Amino acid sequence: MIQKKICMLGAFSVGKTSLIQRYVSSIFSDKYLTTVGVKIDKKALKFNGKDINLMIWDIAGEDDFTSIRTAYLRGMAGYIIVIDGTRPNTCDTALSIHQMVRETIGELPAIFAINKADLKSDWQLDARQLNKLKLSGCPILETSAKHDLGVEGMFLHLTERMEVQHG
Amino acid sequence: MTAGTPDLDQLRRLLFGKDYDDLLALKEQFENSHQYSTSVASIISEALTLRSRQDDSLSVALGPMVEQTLNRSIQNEPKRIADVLYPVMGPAIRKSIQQALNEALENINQLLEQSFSLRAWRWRFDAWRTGQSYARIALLRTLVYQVEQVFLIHRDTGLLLHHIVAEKAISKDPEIVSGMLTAIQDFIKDSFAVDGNDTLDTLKLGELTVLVEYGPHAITALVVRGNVPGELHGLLVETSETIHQQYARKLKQFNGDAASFAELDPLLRNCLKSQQQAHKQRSPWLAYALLAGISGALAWGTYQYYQHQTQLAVQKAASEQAQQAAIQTLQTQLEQQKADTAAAQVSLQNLLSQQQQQAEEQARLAVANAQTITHLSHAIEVAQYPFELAQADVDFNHPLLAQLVKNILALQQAASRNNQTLQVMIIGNTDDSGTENINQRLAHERAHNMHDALIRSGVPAALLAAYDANQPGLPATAKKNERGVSYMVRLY
Ligand SMILES: Nc1nc2c(ncn2[C@@H]2O[C@H](COP(=O)(O)OP(=O)(O)O)[C@@H](O)[C@H]2O)c(=O)[nH]1
Ligand SMILES: [Mg+2]
Repeated sequence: MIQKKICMLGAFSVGKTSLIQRYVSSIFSDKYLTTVGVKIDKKALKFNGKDINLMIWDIAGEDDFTSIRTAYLRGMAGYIIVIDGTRPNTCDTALSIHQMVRETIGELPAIFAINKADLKSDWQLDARQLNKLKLSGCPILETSAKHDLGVEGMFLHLTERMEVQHG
Repeated sequence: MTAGTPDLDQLRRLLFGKDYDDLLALKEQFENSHQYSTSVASIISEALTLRSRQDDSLSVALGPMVEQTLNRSIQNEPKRIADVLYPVMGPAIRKSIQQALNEALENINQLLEQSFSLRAWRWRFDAWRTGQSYARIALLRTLVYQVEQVFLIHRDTGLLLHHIVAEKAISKDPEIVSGMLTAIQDFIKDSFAVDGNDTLDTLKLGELTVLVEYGPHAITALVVRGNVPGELHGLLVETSETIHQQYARKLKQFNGDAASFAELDPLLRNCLKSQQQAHKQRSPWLAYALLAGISGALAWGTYQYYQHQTQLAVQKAASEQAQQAAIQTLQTQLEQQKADTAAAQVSLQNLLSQQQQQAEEQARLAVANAQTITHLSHAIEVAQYPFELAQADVDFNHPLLAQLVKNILALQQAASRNNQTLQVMIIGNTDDSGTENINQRLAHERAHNMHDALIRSGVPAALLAAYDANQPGLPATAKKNERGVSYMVRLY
């Protein structure tokens, strides 16, 4: 059995917690998130015949007032940065988080998830922002926690990238 | 590679150059057993160490040999082995016995307390109310402390390396808890900006305490319920140090596969300590009381038993004696009986002989009697009373008459002894002189006179009958030509 620590990053209220809740059946209440700034969940899955435990760290979002506790990122094998398609500034936050992680932790498998795909008509991301995301070299996926679109695929995609890197 | 002709050798040297000499030297090393031994000797212990790190094959290979060697040395010199083991075994055995006794005592005490006390009923109620098992409630209420869980956590990733739960303890998703433990540690550090080397080593939540030891690569944590004793910290630190000594490399290289850390199970399990109230607060008096009661009962029982036994023994002896006495009496009785029988036999024999004698005597008597009868009969029949010529008178004083009377009476006695009745016939006779008439009358008179004379002399009349010689019916022999009477004796 292989254990992997992954982190859910992104701006405040982009849907990190909602995405995790879609994927796992949580046992701990969300209240830890607001006090400690992190909440951990576990997802057991089989990948290429291997038993894998994903330890998913839901890390309180970064906004104008709080910043991510980088200590929580230590030891992660990969991460997902969530963007709220209806809020263009969350994309900038995503990019700055990505930059910060590469500087403090290093190069790791990462995915950009543009969430709230059920509200795609309201999306306000411009071509320049999308281009910047593409330039990062990370996969960009569209998800909806509300309609359960692309959620499992997103976690599997990250798992695959981590497995490729570590063998 | 054998040495051939000089040409070939030269060719080899040309082809391989200096390598060829090295090759030869190497070959020499393998072929010379001393050199080979020396070279192996220089690396053998390192080789063993290396191999033993890789797998278990060394212990598998050496196991039987070590066993055999040990066996042989025990067989050769058992005392030495005993001496070596003595200081280890003695205390170990004593300790294990002591411990077993203590545990048994404690268990009994607990059982007694829990069955009798009011508290136990409260616990039962609590168990029913909270839906938890009575055992768990009882455990929680009597616990001084118990280490419920042991976590070994990879420090960097917060991933769980190994986890142990005590019996009856409840553990939720230890993987998540281990992540949270590291996260909280980071949170505290960040929030209160404590010194980089300071770590959060104790978390408290109600009656639960989490003792955390931060090693360079791994976090060891104990979840303790109750009052944490001081020595638990020491144990935790020691355990963490041991783990870091043995697993530093594996901890550094950890990439999510915790399988190899399962080997640490015994070491971590050693941290599952606990202590119960009953042990600390008071001596298990209930158990002691029960023990005392039991031993008292046992002693009494034993005493009673022995008493009974001795009583039985006495009874048995007495009965044996009685039996023996009875047997003896029986024996004497038997002997007596035997003697009696013998005596009886003797007396019987005597009797028999007596009887025989009697019979013989009787026979003799009978013979004698018969002889007497014959003799007397003869004497009577030949008796002749000399009647005077032509006379019929009988002289009562004649000695012949007296003799006749005597004989008849004696014969009568003898006959009666012989169960016979006597009859004497008196027959009157005459000689040829005289007339027949006169003779007739004379014979008749003579017979009757004799008859009367005999009766008068004392012969019972029933014995006598008087006849005339010519009287019909008389046998011819009765008629005699003589002057007098003749007698015929008849016995019936
Ligand atoms: N329409 C829609 N709303 C979403 C979706 N995901 C999250 N939300 C909403 O966005 C808000 C913030 O979500 P949350 O998961 O708390 O965001 P977090 O702060 O990143 O953890 C909540 O009101 C969610 O209901 C989604 O896929 N579609
Ligand atoms: Mg959230």
